[in-house]
Amino acid sequence: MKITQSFFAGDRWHNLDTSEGFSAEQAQLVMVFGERTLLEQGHWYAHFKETYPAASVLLCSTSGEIYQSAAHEGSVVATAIQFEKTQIRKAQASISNYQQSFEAGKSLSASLQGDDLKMIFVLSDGSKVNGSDLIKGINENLSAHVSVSGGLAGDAARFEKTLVGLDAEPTEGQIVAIGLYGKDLEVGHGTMGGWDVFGPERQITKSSYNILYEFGGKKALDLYKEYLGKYASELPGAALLFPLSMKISQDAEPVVRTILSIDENDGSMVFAGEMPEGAYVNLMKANFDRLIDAAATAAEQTLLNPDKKPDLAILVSCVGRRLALGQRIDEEIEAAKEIFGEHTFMTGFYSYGEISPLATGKCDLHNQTMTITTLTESK
Amino acid sequence: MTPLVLDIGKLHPLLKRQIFKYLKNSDLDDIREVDFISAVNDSYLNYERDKELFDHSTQLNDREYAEINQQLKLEVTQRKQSFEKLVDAARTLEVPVGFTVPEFNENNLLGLVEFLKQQIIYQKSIEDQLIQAKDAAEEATRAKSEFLSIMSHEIRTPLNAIVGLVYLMKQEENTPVMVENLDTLQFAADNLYILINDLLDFSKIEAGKVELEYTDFNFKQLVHNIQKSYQPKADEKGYKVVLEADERVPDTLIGDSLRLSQILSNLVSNAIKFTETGAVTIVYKLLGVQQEMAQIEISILDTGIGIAPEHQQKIFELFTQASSVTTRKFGGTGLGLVITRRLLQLYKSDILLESTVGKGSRFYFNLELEISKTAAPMKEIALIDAESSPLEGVRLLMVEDFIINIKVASKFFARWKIDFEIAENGLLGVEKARNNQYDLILMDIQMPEMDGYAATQMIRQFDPNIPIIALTASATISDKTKSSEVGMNDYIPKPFNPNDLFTKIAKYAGRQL
Repeated sequence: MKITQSFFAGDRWHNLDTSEGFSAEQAQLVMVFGERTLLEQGHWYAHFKETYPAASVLLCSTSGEIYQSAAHEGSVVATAIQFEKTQIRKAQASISNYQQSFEAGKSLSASLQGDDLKMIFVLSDGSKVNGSDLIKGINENLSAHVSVSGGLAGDAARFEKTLVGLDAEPTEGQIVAIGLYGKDLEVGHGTMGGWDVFGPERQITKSSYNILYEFGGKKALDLYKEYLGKYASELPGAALLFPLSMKISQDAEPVVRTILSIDENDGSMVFAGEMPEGAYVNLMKANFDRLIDAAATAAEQTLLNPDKKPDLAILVSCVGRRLALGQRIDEEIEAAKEIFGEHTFMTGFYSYGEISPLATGKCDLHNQTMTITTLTESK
Repeated sequence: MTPLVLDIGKLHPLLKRQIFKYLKNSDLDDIREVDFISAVNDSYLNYERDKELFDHSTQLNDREYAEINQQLKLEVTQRKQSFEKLVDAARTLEVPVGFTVPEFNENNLLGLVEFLKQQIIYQKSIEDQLIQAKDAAEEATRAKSEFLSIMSHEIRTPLNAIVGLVYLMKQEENTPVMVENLDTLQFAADNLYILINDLLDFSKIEAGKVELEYTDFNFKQLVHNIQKSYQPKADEKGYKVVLEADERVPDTLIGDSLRLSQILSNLVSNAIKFTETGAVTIVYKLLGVQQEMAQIEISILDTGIGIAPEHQQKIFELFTQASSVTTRKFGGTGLGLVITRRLLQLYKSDILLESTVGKGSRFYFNLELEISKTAAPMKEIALIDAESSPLEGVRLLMVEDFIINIKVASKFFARWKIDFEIAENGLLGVEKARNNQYDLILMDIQMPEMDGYAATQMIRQFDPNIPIIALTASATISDKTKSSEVGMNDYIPKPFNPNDLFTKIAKYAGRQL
């Protein structure tokens, strides 16, 4: 696998690093992560089409771009990949409302099915798509050995609109997926949140898809405010700092759910994912050290062999972490970099939802995690 | 990365103190641009927030656990009290032979439960035995009432013929000896008829099968009719049945006129039976009206033999008369007064008695009857043997298998100038009804080939409107209910009262009387 990376900031392109023997004409795949308003201004696809004529180009808006072991904003980062043996195929779906998410997911994985399909990398609109349903739809057609990862596009901390594109200028409502085929490709996954739970575990007593009305028999917002104490006054701005840990059953793996909005009138809260009645939830809070440690742990999870470092690591981290860690956000990227070392190319973005398989089982939608996908082609 | 500009005022207080303590004054200017300090400050603040949230949630947890603890304590107390109550209850249970009573304490809850379980099994077995006994008793009662129903039919059918034919024979020219014989025959037949009705009534009342009807009826007219109908009997003895009416009693009341006339007939016929000279007097008085209910006192006075005080309660007992001498002299079953009393009890009333031996008796009771808001029903018109019959030309089909019944009815129909046809069983009846035009059908119930219920249902399939009147010897309430269920319009028990038959034919044929 040969890679070249560059970023656009301050009105011009900067070259970052290039593998020996990389040929722009032979690049098959380009991943572009950029700030939304910046993506809206330029003819980005045209630029990449000209630079990498043979490549499929993925474009995705972010809540922050990851390169140079740091989190950036107001920039665009591009990573062009020239696989040696691995084949790629692409698929795309566009939707206009939440209800179509499941069917869109189903059609994507159906069109990418193949005997030697190794993994699917998905980038999806982050505000029009129901991430949980999308992933259920993708999983519907897939056999267990195919892994799925990726993320939902971001829009800084604005939550206005998100853009995704495949071989076209990015627009709203797009879901794109790349299938990677071949037995020479090794794929690694890691996901870790590092948030602390606090307060007692409670069951969801009233909800409607991703709207949480009551848990533990009390109004969701009331219970939140009670536990946040003096920090309750920082809501809704601080909502991203206090996600919920949710598990479907007592022995299920917990997933983290971010608050998207709150309703002072009826005391309900909207979360970035399904909140089924009967599920178990815990309040969460950020401990900086543990958030940063979690990034390192996620990186370690991707390594099948500690001595064999991957060619490329794609980091999808949550916008909530970025808001929580503030100035120290770079430290989580640095922590991952320490694990991978100098020779692994790193790219990625801050997202509105991460897609990754848990340690066991099928892929799921996560919030508030550092989710890492690594790709390595055996030499 | 752009350097952050530090606001010293927003530094964590501890960090601020440490900076001023450990750094030289000259460094302070630089501090504003030091990312390092900013990162450290973020960490300090985060730890502070983390600690506060944790402390706060710990407090909340403590409070919640205290509440849960309190709740648990309450539950433990309740459990203890429940257990004690359970033990108290268990101790009151009768312990059957062969039961081991465990030691009752809180650590032996299972023992207590096992003991109670055995008790429940034991009680259940007793309950099963009781249910079996009850079923057996009900089965016996059912068999008894069925027997009575069948017997009554078997006896009434021939009796119907006797009563009817005697009636007709008395209309003919007869020799004086014949007249006397016929009188005796009629007396015997009537008595037998009354006895059968009494027995049937009594068995129905005993079986709880008698329910009062609540329909409009003319109270004054009813009493007047009773008086009139018993006058011939009193005439035989040479005295009058006197009626002392209270005009204030409302005309139309709501009640069971059939049962009420049964009560009055019983009492009046008794009075006549035991009175040789003087008079029998019926008196009714309005005691008052409360909430649309009329309170009426009714008395039957006689100047007969009277009843000794020691016998006054006995006469209301089953099959008991005042003395065996009475039985020999006056006859009767002793059922009449028992039935009268039971019927009055259905009206939540009771029969009372004042009597002096040799002077006479007064039987009296109170009735509470609702006052009807609708108009009085049509007057009953007794009419037989008119020169020009109002029933002339009525087309009637009689479905009846018993030849004597046919003969009796035929004579009446001929006398009333009715244009009638006979069908000998249900099947023939259906055929005739299908092929001919009739104004109404009289339908026997128990017949060979096809009974009256089945025949009625078949006729109703092609003619839903023609009046069908059941004419049967099985005079039970359930027959009456069933006859209306299959689509019959009315019901005349056999042996029929010619007057009643005449009135019903007139009513259903649409003839004015």
